[in-house]
Amino acid sequence: MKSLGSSSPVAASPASASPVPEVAAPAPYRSKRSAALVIEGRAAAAGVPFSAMLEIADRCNEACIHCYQVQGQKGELETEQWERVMRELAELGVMFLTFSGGEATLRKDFLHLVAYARRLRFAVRIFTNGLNVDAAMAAELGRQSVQEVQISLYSHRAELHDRVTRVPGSFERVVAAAQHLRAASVKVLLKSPLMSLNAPEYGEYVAFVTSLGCDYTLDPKLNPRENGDPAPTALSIDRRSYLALRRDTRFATPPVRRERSLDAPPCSACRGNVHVEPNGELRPCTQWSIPTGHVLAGDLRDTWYGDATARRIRGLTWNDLPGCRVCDLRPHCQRCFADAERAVGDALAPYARACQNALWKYEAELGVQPELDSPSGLCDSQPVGPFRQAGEHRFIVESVAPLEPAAPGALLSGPARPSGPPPDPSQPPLSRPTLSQSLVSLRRHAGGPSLTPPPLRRRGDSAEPDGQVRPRVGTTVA
Amino acid sequence: MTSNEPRTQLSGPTRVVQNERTACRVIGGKAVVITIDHNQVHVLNGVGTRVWELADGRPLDAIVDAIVDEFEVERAQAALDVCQFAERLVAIGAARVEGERPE
Repeated sequence: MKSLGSSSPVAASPASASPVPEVAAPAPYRSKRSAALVIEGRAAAAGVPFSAMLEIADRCNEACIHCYQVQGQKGELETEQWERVMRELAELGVMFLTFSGGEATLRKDFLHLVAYARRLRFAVRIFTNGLNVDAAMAAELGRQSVQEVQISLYSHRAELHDRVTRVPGSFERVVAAAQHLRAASVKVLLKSPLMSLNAPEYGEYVAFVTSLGCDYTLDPKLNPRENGDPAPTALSIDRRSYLALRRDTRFATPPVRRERSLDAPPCSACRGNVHVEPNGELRPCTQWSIPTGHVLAGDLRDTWYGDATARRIRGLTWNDLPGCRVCDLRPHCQRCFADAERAVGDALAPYARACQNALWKYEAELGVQPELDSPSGLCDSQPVGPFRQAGEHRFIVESVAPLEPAAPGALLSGPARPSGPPPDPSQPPLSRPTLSQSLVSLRRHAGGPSLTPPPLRRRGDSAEPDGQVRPRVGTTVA
Repeated sequence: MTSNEPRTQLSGPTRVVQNERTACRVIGGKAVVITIDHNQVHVLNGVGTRVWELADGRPLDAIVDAIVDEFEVERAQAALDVCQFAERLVAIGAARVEGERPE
């Protein structure tokens, strides 16, 4: 007869990106994996998404000069429809739920939806501009045990913040919102993209945010508008500002990855996070405007695992990127399918912004600016890879033959997809951009992902798959 | 129970309930619990997950009964383990004793 044994030590694991102590490790060692990564890993192993982003509002009460969103054209789901979405996400195994917009707090049912999510035991985060977060709302978010509220704050100077938001007085309201939330014991993260306007003052920004008792994050990337307008990227920081940020010891950077498997996915699109637009359309991520189903077109589980476009995207690896797969700067690259599609009309092709960023990242991490040789002998101000290493810190720019276009509709003619319920005829047909069809239809991994819905756990089953009782009752962190 | 055996502060009649200030999902048969106030993640093993699922305010004795029904374990051992584990859940803020105010 097996004994349940004694309780194991309790593993205290910060839910944010802090180090996680490993129970099994010798005392002085701590895992460098964050708890979020632990959960992500477990969810991936079980074949389930671990987070969801619900853009519940298609409107905003600011008009930020750099914003990538185009609002007021999608429409919004009703309260009961969002409730259904959350129930199905919970059944799918999603743990982290983020409410975003537009401006999520503009919905009259915002607090109701937060409370509903908490009843379903989600860890809830909220992205907001803070304008509507008064003392009463902050107190309610505290009562609902919201895990974190992230507020956009673009400068420690009121004049500059208000210039970015184009709403006079918005700085004062953001600061008040942060203070209300902190008073209600809600964790607050203030965040900003780094722009040419605010980058020179980021040190003062960090000091100001810290003085408010808040965390902060600064993002050097600006995105084009979702309608393709590249205007926001004109505010991007230059190389000098980028290198200054990356070399600042206050910002921990992950170690340089010398290897990056060709079989690894280039990004997490359609993998761990379920992204839902205000009108219920599913997308691969925040940036990529290609539909991968609709939350109301049948069961969400079937759509998540069965949508043909999502399956193609989920199966993409570096090996499917004709230029990038041979690039020797790949370990430093943070390319984005959406950016590539907007920049060069091919989500899988190299494009200037990613290549420039890889060069900057190489320089930041290795401390040496790489030399580039072009076969033509011409110096390109915005070189596009692939880059082949020709010596120490020296690379040759290689040209890649253009892709042949795919046959129309080829995306949907791949290997058999799992059977799912037919689309709801009451819903409008989902448009699929022809361009994006061709982008993902050519590829070697068109067979889709290995992810399959996990078997549902039944009450009454033994706690372990082999029917054996584990020797310990307790908490562990993998 | 002899004086040399481990003791627990919680006993069979104690009612333990999951703390509302947690987030939870069962992933791959194991509960992942986030305590909001401490901002920490705890992963329960299979048996711990079952105890967690049963922590709905019923007496620990009833949880022990369920565990004994489902696993090959002597009742005395299960009672000791469940009470100790429930104590740990309360200590980390994942559960609270019914009738006591949450933190």
